[in-house]
Amino acid sequence: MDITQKALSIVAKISGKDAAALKPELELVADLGIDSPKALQLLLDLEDELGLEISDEDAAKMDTVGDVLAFLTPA
Amino acid sequence: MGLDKDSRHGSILISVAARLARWIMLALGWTWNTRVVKGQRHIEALLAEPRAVILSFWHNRIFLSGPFVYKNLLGKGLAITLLASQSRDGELVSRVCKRWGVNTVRGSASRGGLQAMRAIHRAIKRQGSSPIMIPDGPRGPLYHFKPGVVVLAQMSQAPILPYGIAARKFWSLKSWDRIVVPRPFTDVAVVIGEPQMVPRHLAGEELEQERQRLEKLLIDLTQQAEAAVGATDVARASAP
Repeated sequence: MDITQKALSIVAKISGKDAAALKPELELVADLGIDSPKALQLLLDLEDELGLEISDEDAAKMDTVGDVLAFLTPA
Repeated sequence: MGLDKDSRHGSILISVAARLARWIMLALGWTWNTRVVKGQRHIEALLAEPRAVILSFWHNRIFLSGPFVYKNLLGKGLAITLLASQSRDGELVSRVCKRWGVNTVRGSASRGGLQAMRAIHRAIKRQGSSPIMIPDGPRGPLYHFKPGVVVLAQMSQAPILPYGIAARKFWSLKSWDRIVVPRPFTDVAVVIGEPQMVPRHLAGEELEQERQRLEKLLIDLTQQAEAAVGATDVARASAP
């Protein structure tokens, strides 16, 4: 499983959605219902399972599924 | 005129109020006959082998809990972190806590929540500091255990140490939760529950059930403390 698939499976687990249905344009709060407690889960799971550190500034920029994936796989 | 914490005048007033609040709380606490009715062994275990726990009690017990935490935990070397709201009241609480050597993080479940929760998570994991998390703070609903505290416990794998605390004679302020201010020389009872681990694998409905279980537990511990001193719950009695 590559890093994108791992990240999508984490977002799917926390939002309760199917990973295959997670499109980049979906908004974490408005479309997936990721409120503050769930966002904490998401960030800490991403850090733990992918072995990286996400700063508060980077976390604040993550509005959509695409933003999460872009952070993990920068161009 | 409002008290603006960012103005020089406001900052001085808050500083003076913080000093006064600290001394009033300590002086009042010194007169109370405080008794741990149940669960003293959890405090002793924590002091014997310090580790991060999430201290939880209801918001309207904040005046009661200050001296209790100071005498029994902070004064005995346990590192404590407090989440204080970004409001003017939060500024006052933050200043009082700093004078007691408590690390404060500003934010709440509703404003600046994520950043504050991450800062508390870091304090637990990196400094081994025990956060005070008031599950129905800062603005209620009354006795509602908010999910943020449950998720913090789950993600940090630090146990929640819940406790109920009650005074026999007290004043009740006209705040949303009828905050309890114990009268001098009154009896105070503390009932400390078993440390509560929130399993890492819980999600969705299972996590909600865990939240509801913790809510009932904290209500029960508070009622046990009230029964021990023969007190009534003014907040619940006056609820619509």
